[in-house]
Amino acid sequence: MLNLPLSNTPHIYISSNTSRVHHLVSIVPEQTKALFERQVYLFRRIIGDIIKSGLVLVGLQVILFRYFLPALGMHENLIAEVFVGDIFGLGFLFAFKQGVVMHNDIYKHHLLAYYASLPARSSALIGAYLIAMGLPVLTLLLTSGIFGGLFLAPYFTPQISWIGGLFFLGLGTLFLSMLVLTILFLTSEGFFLRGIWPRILSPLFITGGIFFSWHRINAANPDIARFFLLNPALYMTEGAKYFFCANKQNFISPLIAIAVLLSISAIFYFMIDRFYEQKFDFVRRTERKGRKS
Amino acid sequence: MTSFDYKISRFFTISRLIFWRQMKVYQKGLGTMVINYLILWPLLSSLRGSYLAPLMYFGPGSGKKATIILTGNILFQLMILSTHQAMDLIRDDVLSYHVIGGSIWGVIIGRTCAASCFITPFCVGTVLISKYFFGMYFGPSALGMLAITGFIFLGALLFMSVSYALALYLYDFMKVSAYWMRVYMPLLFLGGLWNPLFIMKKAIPSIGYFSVATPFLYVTEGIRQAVISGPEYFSLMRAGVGVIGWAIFFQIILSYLMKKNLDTI
Repeated sequence: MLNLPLSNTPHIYISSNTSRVHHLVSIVPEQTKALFERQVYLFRRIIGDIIKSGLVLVGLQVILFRYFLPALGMHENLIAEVFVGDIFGLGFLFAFKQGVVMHNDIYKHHLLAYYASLPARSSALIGAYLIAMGLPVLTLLLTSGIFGGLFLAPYFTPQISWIGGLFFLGLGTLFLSMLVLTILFLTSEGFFLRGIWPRILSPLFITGGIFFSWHRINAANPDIARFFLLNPALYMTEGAKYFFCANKQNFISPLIAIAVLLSISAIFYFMIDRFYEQKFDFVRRTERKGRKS
Repeated sequence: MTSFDYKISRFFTISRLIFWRQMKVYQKGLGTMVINYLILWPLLSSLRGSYLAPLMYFGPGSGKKATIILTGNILFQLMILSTHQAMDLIRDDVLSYHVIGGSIWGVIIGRTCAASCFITPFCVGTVLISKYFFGMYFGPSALGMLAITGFIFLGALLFMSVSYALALYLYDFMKVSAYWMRVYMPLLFLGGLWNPLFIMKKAIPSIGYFSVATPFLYVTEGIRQAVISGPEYFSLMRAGVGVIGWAIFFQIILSYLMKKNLDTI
């Protein structure tokens, strides 16, 4: 037998079954930690680029909402609402971009198939991918939210609640990351690049309260407003608007928004777990089949 | 046959062959593209831009203002469709063979024209759906539709030239996406994605004067002149010359990049 270091050869060179089980138990946290550390390492390499991109994009939004759209005739009391919605619009774009990176990770380089063969829990693997997806999106949202909030401060409510607003940026990140990961695990290789934006993200984007607040749609056309309520992304934007904008009574209650977003994220998690097992985790799938038979 | 005659005949043969090859390639995914960009995208963007935006942002009876935004937003569709084609260029292994075996300008003209012909109907479809489903403010003359189609085609030609040049220059998705955020988006913004030039000059004059030097402004000004028409937009002639000039400029850059990166002989 070759005398290779155990960290590189986790379960092949262990002789007895008992010692193998002990060994596996001991290396699961190690593998999990390594998975998370890899994603954090990759994130640290791109964080500067994300902040730069965020500053450019938020700079454009500030010029648009503070100068150009009011010059075209938009009412000034809409600026804060539309800007907060638009931050999540950037989140959608960035989540899609990260999804393409993950897509290459999973389908082009087949890294996920390799990870699935490691003795790490599926929850750890999904958590690592969630971090890889969420950290860049959260960085972009925070950059946009904080800098936009500073430059457009006169248009926001004086009773702005930064804690509540930032919490909803985090919750929005969780929802967007879960959404894109679910689609990534659910769909086929080609569909993600060709079809996810026009068929899934774009409808959620347009009916998600990015461009318009729900109470204004309800005042204009209640039928369309009811249809918008089916979109979970609406609760993400409305929850954030509640904390950033004036006339809080106009927006959907943040408690309802939190309940909807957490429930949907939990459903997404179970879907991801299920599809991960079906598509990538052949060991767990075989074990389940064995137990059934 | 002189050397010049031979080069000209090779250019026309190669560009024609590449054009029809690309058209055959596009036929494969046509059904998906029709659903995505001729049905879903136009319906959703019309719902947002032609119906909800006038009601929410500017009040009832302000269709013209919303149309100003909607016509500028065609840049988004042009950009997404052209980026799709440019990504295919990166993945397409036969490109270097075409460049080595044929004429560089034949490949550029054949590819950009084929892609532009493919993209144009999708964007024209957005305008038509906006007009017929959501009562968009729209130029009534026949010249309006002809001019809109012409400008969308020229816009597609410009976007394809820029996207191909960018793809050949960067050759990596991560770099393309970083450029997309930091270079493409500001260019689109200054190119009238949301506002026409006269609004930019009115709001921040320095940005207005600077944006005249950006390529995409001539596309939006031309489309806005064709759809809404008015003295505040560039004339069709000025906008057309601007778009063609910028398209030729980027095609020259593209030919340089092709020669440098692909023509190993």
